[in-house]
This record gives sequence, structure tokens and C-alpha cells, in this order.
Amino acid sequence: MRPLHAEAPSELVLYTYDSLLAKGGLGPALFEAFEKKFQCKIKALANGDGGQILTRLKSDLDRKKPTADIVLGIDQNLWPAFKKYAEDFAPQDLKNLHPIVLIESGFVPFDYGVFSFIADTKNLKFVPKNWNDLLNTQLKRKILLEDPRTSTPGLGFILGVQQIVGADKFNDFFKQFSKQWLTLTPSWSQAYGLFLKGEAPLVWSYTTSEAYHQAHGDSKNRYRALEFKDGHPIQIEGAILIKNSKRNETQTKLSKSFLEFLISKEAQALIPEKNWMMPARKNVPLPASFKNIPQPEKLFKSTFSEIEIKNLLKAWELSSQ
Amino acid sequence: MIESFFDPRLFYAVKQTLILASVSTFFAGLIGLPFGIAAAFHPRSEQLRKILSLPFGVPGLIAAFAWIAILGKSGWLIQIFQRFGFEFDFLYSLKSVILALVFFNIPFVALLISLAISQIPQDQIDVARGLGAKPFRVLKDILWPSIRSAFAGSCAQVFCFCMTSFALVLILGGGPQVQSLETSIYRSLRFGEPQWDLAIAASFWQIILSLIPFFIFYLNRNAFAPASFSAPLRKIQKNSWNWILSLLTILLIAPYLLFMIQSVPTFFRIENFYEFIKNISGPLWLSIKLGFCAALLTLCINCFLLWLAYKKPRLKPLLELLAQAPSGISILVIGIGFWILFSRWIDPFEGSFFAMVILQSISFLPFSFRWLRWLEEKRSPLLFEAAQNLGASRTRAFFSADWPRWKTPVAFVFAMIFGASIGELAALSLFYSEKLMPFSVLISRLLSQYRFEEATAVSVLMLCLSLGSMAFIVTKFSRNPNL
Repeated sequence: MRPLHAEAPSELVLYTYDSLLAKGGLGPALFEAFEKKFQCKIKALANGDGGQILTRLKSDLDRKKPTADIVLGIDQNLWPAFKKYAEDFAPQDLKNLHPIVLIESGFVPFDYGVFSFIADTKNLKFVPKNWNDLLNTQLKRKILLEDPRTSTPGLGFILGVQQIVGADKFNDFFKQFSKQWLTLTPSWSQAYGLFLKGEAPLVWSYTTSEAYHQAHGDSKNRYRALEFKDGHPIQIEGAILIKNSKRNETQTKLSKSFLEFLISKEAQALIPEKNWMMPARKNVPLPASFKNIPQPEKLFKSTFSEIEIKNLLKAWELSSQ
Repeated sequence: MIESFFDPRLFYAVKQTLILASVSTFFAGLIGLPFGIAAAFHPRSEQLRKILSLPFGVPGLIAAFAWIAILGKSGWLIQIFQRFGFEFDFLYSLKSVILALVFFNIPFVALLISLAISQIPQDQIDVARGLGAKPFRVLKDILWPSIRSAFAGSCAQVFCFCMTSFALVLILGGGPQVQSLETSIYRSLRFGEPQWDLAIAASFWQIILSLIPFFIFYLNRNAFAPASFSAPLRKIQKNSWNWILSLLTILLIAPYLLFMIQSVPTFFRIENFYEFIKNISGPLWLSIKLGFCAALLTLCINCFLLWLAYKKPRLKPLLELLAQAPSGISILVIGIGFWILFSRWIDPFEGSFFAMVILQSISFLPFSFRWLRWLEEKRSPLLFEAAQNLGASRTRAFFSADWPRWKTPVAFVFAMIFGASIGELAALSLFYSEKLMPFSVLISRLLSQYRFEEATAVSVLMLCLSLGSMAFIVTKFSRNPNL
């Protein structure tokens, strides 16, 4: 158990995913700012990905030994599975967030990303302008995608197809599209690694990846985010306060303060260049590298239930084989 | 639950697994058999066998990276082809997975065949040749009876290796068009709420498929029965084609060596090299400890089972079944079962070195058992009894009479498990923690944190560690010319 002495600094325990704790990433910067402001200690435990965090929460419950207070970094598609573990808490500042990021009470959104294809313009001969262009034979084995069964961007892609191309065309689209991808990687980082190696000229990522390249010396605009007229799916990342965690009053207050802090101006200013995502809060100044990235007008927020996602994955798998 | 067993996605995975495993085994056997025979007659057969043992230390993850570096769109071989105007699109398909699996397993078949031939008395071959037997007749009547058992055993093992192959299928397969039961299990457990019904159904089919080679083996048990020899040393023959065989042997490990060479510049691109070394020293030490303990525990269990089989011959079939049962079960499934059991008492997310060692030992036991079983079958009680009659204790008698024959194969198995343990990911990914992070998990972690340069550098170090340790152990203990 954690120390409960009044004089001891309080400790906040967080479950999060691996890449959020990357050196120079959002996690370390965010925690440092919060610790300084609230004179406390944050213990962040990396648990692979969202699926593993879920398993851990379940295991904590089974063993009746809740460890963490907060889960940081689940997206809207994982939210239905996490809902039963979340306390119904809504920070006061929610009204200052972009309306599109708001999902449900209990889910505290802190950033969002617009999914798009990133093109290596040096090696891409045919530039797709909409979703149906992706089926063009010139793009055969020219696309890197993440596996929707193991990666959130990959799942975002198939949910995007369902919403944008249409549920009735879903199977036909994937029957053809399965010839277009070079490979499906288990995670975003592997797909992006292969893309940077030059394995294929298109990779499924976020519009903000272009900003990353701009900020890291891509003066010739080699890597560009493509804008599709028919729209783009988005991913919303959020945090939850874990229900029934063995917190004392100070720790409960501290946990709620963390969620309030997460959507404060100070924390939101860290999002663009530390997590390479868009801040959930309105009117947060963006760095120069974000100025020229595409700002698609049509954005699609997926809100599918667990069963719907499961069925879609099954349909996708059968039409892609 | 029942309908999961007949899920069309699973049937597709069963079909793919069967194709992958049988085609890969066919080609690995087809090439490995003549390769092993040729290697056995090579003047430097001992050195060739050392080289052939090295691929066992290559982790699947690194083997996949190596193939991407060669045959990927940006791979050097493809670049050469493109310069000459050839378009060559090979990777991320069923063909590429089969190629990688065949390359991975030829050395295993060749090594076992070569070892089996080294047991044949040279005078038998000499007598046959003296009586005018043609090389084919020698092969048919002298060599084949003594190597058929090793050949069948190695093919059965290769089939199981291919069937449970994970990283190669996942990375080189290219998506749902190519998937095995092992990757189906992984996907059903890895993301979101675990789909236990699918995982259980996939494991069921995996066990059924793994029994196929043993069933074939059983039906043809007379054809595959080992010939018995008490083997004096064999002579070696020299001919002008030997250098080609030496080159081909080196070719089998070339993809991994080239990956190592190609990745050397990565070390110079790491921003803070001192910090990098500091960060990897813990995982490096843990991987060494893990490899050592897993190899030691596997050998101890193996020796115990052999001793028990020797003491209680009635129990032998049961013990053999026990030792070989894990070969058809996914390490992920064993791991998850262990995980569920384990999590009732201790927090598995805190990591457990003990669990990692146990789990790896269970998964390596069938391989070790198949390799060492013949030692017990061919032990020489006469020498042992003679040593005892001379007043030696049982332990002393064992070390005088049996250990010289045991030493090299035991060292081989130790080296192979040590190397394989360092690169194993499935078992380790279930029981690691921030404080207990071995090399293979560290690579995944670095990749997920977009630290590609460091991940490549750690991959190279891991490959050096597993290949280096295998080369060291094999060289150090391979004094017996029979092995």
C-alpha cells in the first residue's frame, strides 16, 4: 500500500501505453509539469498497448488489488471496453474542448489525430485524392497499413472505410484493397519504420506526421499528408479515473486534479510537439510545423460498440483473405 | 464456443498452417538430406557442423529483419536486380515465409543427418565399396538405414517448428492472406478483450496438426527404425567439390551475417552512445542469466526424464509423451495458462524471472529431448559396469564411462537453448516488467517508442550475443570428433 502519512508526498499511479513514455515524449514532460505544480510523485506503468492495460485492470479487479488511479491514453474505440472500469467524472474545463472530441462522461479527451495517408512524394507516381483512388492498380503493393486486429490506427482505417466508403461497399472495397497493401504490420511504429526505409510510398498514419517531418528538417516537403475530399476518420485519445481504486481523499483529489490539468492550457500546449497530435482544447497556439498540414473539413468520429467492432473485424478478415 | 472450432477464419488459418509447414518441411528435408550427407563426408565436417548449428541462435524477429534487408523493396539484392532492369517483388507473401522457414530449417535437418552418419562404422562403407557397390547402393543399403530415423525425426521437428513459427509469419506474411494458427492465437489474445474461444479453438487445431508427423512416423515405424551401430571413428574423404559445400554452408547463415554488417553504421547514428550502453546493460545481463537458467533447467528436466526412463522402462512411453507434448502447443497458450494460474497469487505485471525460465524450459524441452534421447538409447553399460568393478562410485563411473560421449551433445543443446532463449519473445512478453526487461522485449519497446536506430542496434547486439555464445560453446566443447 502507498504511504498515507500527511507529510509524505502523495503518489499517483498511472497505467499507460509504451510510446507515451518515450524519451522526449508527452509522458515525461507532462508528469514533470504536474509533479512540480502539485508537489507529488507520479508513477507511470507502461503496459504495452490498450489491450494489455485492459487485461491488467481486469487482473487487478480479480485479485482485489487495484494498483492504479488513472489510465492515460485509451482511444474512443477502446472506451466501450473500459467504460465499466471508469468513474463518472467530468472535468470543469470540458466546455473549452473541441466539440468533436467529446464522447461520454467518464472519458476525458486530451488530444486527437486525423488519420491520413502519408506519401513519400519522391517515390509516389500516382497520388490518390479520395478513398476509391486507393483501389487504382498503380497503387498495387504500394501501401503500408497496420493490422486492425492489433493496432489502433489499423482499426481506425477499417472503421473509416465503413463510415466513409459505406457499409454496403465494405466487403467489395476490401476484396480489392487487399491487393493494394504491401504488408500489414502489427503496430504503427513498424509500418512507419518500413515506410521510412523506402519499402512503400504510402503509409497509414496521421496528418500530424507531416508536421513531425517539417520540424525535423524535411524542407523539401518529401513526406506529405494526403487530404481526401470524402473525409478522414479521427482518433481521440483520453484518460479515465479508475473506479474503486483504493485511494484516500488526498489521492482522489490529486487524481481529479491530474485530469483537470490534462486539459489545461499548460498541458495542452505540450501536445503538438511532444505527442504529435492535435490538442483537444480550442485555441491552443500551434507550432510553425503544424501550420501547413491539411485541415480536412469532413471528419468522422467512430463510435462503434464492442460487438460491432468484432463483427466488422470478422467481415474484414473474410473479405481480405 | 463450439462454433469457434469451425469458424471460417480458423479453417483458413488451418489450411495456411498446413501449407506453410508441409511445404517448408518438404524443401528443408529435400535440401537438408543431401546437404547433411555431403557435410558428413567433408574433410572439415566438424567445422561445417559448427556453422550449421549457428542458425538456432537466430531469433525469428531478427531473421525477419534480415530478410527485409535483403529482399525488401529497399533491400540490397532487390536494388541490384532493379539496376539491371528486373522488377522483383517477393517479400510479404506466402513464398517469402516459406523461403525464410526453409533457410532456417535446412541446417537443422543437415546437422542431424550429418551426426547420424558420423555414427556409421567406416569399415562397413569400405567393405561395401570393396565388394563393388556403387555409391547409390552404399547410400541405399548402408547410409539410409542408419539415417532414416534421424531424417524422420528432424522432419517431424521441422514441421512443428514451422507450425509454431510466429515472428516470420507475422512480419513477412503481409497480412490476413498469410496467417498461421500461431498468429491467430496471438491476434485473438493480444488486442482488446481476449477472445478465449478463438484462442482455444486455434490451439486445439494446432495440437491436432502437430500430431500429423508423429502419426506418419508411427505408421511407418519399421521403415524409420534406426539401425544400430557401435561406432568407431569414420574416415573422411577429399574431393574437389568440397569448397562448394563449404560456401553453401556459409550461405545458410549469410542473411543474418549480412544484416549484422549492414547495421553497423546504426551504432554511429545513436545520439548518446554512452547512455544507450548504460540503458541496455541491464537487459543484456538479464538475457544472459535467462538463457543460462533456461538451458540449465531444460537439461536438468531432460536428464531426469532420461534417468527415469532408464530406471523404469515401463514408464518410457509415458515419459516420452510428456517430454514431447509441448511441441505441438503454442508457447503463447502455455504462457497464458501459466499467466492465469500465476496471477492468482502474484501480480504478473510485476514480472517474474522464475516464470520466464519455467515457460521457456517447457517450450524447449521437446527439442532437447529429441536431441539427447539417443544417448540413453545407445549408452554402453559394459563400460559403466567396468568402471564400477574397478571401484568407482556411480557418479564417478558415469563421468568416466558416459560423460565423454554426453559432453558434446549436451553442450550443443545447451548452446542452442541459450541462443533460442535470448531471442524468444512470446513467453517473455507475458512476464516482463520495467525492472525485468530482456533484449527481445526491449526491441519491441524501442520500436513502439519510435527509437528505430536503437532497436536495430539492440537487434545486432542480440544476434551477436546468441551467435557468439553458440560459437563459443560449440567450439569449446566440440572435442569429440564424432560430433
